Amino acid sequence: MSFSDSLNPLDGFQHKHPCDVLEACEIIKQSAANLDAIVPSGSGSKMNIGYAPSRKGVVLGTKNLNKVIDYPARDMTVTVQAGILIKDLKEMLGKENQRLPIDDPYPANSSLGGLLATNTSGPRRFGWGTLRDYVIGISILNDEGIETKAGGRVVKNVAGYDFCKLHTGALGTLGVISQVTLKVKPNPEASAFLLVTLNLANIESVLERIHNTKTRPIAVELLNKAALQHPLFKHLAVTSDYGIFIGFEHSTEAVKWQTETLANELADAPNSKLEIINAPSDSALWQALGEFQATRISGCPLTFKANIPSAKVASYCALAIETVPGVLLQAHAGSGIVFGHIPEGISRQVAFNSIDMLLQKAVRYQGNLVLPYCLPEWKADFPVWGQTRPDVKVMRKVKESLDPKALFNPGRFVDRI
Amino acid sequence: MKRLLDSLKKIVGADAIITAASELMVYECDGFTIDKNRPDVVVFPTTTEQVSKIVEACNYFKVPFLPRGAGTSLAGGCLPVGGGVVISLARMKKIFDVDYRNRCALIEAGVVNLWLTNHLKPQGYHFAPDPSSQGACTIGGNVATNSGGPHTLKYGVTVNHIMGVELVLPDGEIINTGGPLEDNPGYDLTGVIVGSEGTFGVAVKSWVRITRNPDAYRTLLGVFNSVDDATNTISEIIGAGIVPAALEMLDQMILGALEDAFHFGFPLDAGAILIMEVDGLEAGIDTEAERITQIAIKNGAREVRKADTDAKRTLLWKARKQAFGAIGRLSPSFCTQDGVVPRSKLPHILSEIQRIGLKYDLKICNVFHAGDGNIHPILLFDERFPDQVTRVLAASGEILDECIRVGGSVTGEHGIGVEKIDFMSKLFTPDDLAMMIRLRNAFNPTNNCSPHKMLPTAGACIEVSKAGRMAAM
Repeated sequence: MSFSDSLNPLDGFQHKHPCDVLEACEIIKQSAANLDAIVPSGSGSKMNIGYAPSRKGVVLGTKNLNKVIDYPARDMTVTVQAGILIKDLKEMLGKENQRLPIDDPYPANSSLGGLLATNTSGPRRFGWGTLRDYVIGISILNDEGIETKAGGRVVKNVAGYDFCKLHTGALGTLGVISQVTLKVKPNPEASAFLLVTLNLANIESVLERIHNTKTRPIAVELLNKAALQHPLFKHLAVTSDYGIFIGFEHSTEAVKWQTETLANELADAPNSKLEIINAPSDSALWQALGEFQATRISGCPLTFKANIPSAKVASYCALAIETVPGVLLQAHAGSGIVFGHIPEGISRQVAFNSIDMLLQKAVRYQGNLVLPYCLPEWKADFPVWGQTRPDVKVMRKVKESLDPKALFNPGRFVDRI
Repeated sequence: MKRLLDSLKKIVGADAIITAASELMVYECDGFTIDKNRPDVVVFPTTTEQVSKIVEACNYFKVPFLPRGAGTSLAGGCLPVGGGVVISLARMKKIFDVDYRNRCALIEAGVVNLWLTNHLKPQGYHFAPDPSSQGACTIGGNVATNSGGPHTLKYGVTVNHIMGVELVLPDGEIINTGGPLEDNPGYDLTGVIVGSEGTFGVAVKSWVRITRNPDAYRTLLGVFNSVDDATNTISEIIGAGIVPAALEMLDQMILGALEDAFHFGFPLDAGAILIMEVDGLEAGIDTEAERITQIAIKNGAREVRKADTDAKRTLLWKARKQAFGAIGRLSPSFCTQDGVVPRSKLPHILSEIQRIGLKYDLKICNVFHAGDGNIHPILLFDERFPDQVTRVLAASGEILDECIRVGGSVTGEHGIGVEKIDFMSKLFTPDDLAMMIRLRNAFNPTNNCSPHKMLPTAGACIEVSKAGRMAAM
């Protein structure tokens, strides 16, 4: 069995947790001299993403690089080391009634660096955007073991190339993220959902109405029956085939107006039921909607994430259910992102064929399909990073230029970069 | 050069090429007029394939090339240092596809920013980045410099609204990054191409995100006796967790010029005014506007006026966005600077600007994106007098040095171009810059595309790193 086929991809790795940046740089220099792979890790919550590293080396943990460097709350920016846990960042920002409005499935167990490297997002992306909209400065430990920076600590800055964008979602393949400066937002005064329960035939017409609504939703989350039976949502006792959660965050007055207005706009939608759910921004429902996409369902062999036009979400979900009976679906419907957990008991061949069909459909829409989770023993055959696009040639040049020895996460990312 | 010209004529036809010295003068600089150099030829392609062939021809004959939009950039981004070929994208102005349901559009680089917004208007949408030059500047130029504008405070800068680009690489190959959908796997090449000032290739098309128009606006004009009162108001609005759509400051000197030009009724005895705009839903907007009003009054505003009709709001924004045009009433030449400071440092940097103006005996007026901490001191001079040019450069440098010293940047939206190359080594370490050169080499290994831009030449003497100015002499 080759190393990359190993069931535990980090078997045989040394695990190091430097106390500071200097020590981390020394580890990189040593690894570079030995041509050892360097696998950056925050709290380790997202290490199953991507392929196994193509060679052995060091897991460089950043959990001790968790200092707050600067938090000028009145400037609405914060500079922290990348190992800080999301829950600690949230707690600190919360004291100033501010937040980073990016959903993380497991804030207690994930680091900012990991969130950034995987470009994690959730329901709020429709209204608040994704991490690329919030990172304004970044420090990277490069392939020579030197801390380099780009961007800055001011909210508007176009001096130099935007490495913040390049490292966001790069899965740590271009260096180790050591420090980040973020724009932050004020906490909203109020928050609520309108829950629409309905059947498949009516989804697109309701989504079209939501698209044209006078209101400004922050999240438009579509879940199918199998997903709604999950313990995270079971207490809502939804019995229809689908539920759409339309989330609002704003002033109390604006949230009240929006939930009532949208309820009126959808009042005559056929075969649908409406319910207003008052749920603060830190409520269990927001957390559940952010968490479900990354939840490990017992026996689930893989989870897919497709990016498609938002107008095709309903038909894509129908195709997924037809192709994989029992699939648990959640779509960030306004953004055209569909997550699916394949249920236990599906054979490898059936799963492969189904994923291939869903991938090809997404590609026809100019999108793609990736597997945020996949059984390690299936990864060799499955399209973990979807269909390779022609611009991968440039990505390879970027990788070769910034990490010529292929030290950082070799083989884990797109096209096994 | 003749053989190159013959090749270019075959690609685009003789009527899409300029070589006459009198016509080339238009292309010797952009909005940054201190450095000038004429290109050898300007070529006007109409398709991506033509751009690709032009690039290949330039490489074959080893002639440098660079893209150009409307030339409104203010840092010499499209200054043809050392001559060569300017690839004007002005004739690539198609809006191909607007997908309202999926909130994106595919457009060519030469589309003027405001055309796009006007095109989207009947459906209730707009393109959010709104530089002051939006009536002339092109989307391609916005992409190259990652342009901002007054409403970026709430809506973000250009990169936040670009989903993909079609790029002719410096070797002529055509690639597409990103696209009409979010979250394509792989590196965010689009994100790093935006703002690369043409050094990664020629961005010929863009997938842009389109934004729904707000239902309601409240546009307020805060009148202050002093600049300090105005900047304290800004600081407190942001600190209170209010995110206005725009928060713009104009000082007394610029107000006079604007009043002469637009007759808005600006109070000419005010020390400064703030344009404070909130937008969004009708529900709750008056409460937000009232909070802002109270903060302004608490900080010494002597009055807060409302632009309570569409006509008044339109005129107010017209005055703001055309402020640079009104400078001609104050001075024959001007240099618009573009620095950024943490918002809480605004009172400090404005008093420094005043001090520096006195030191160099220059008039400096201010009109800027206060909510972002993005200052635009406008240094007035007469370019016919070399001594004045020297003093303007020295004063600009001192202002930008102070921006760096207080934790800011030397450009918030205009770019580095040739103007600010020397500041890069003040903002960044040699190691930081080496990484940037490595990144540029991934796209542009020969540096034949937009040479002498953004990054100082490693190890070069000052003359080379200021190649634009050398060319102008």
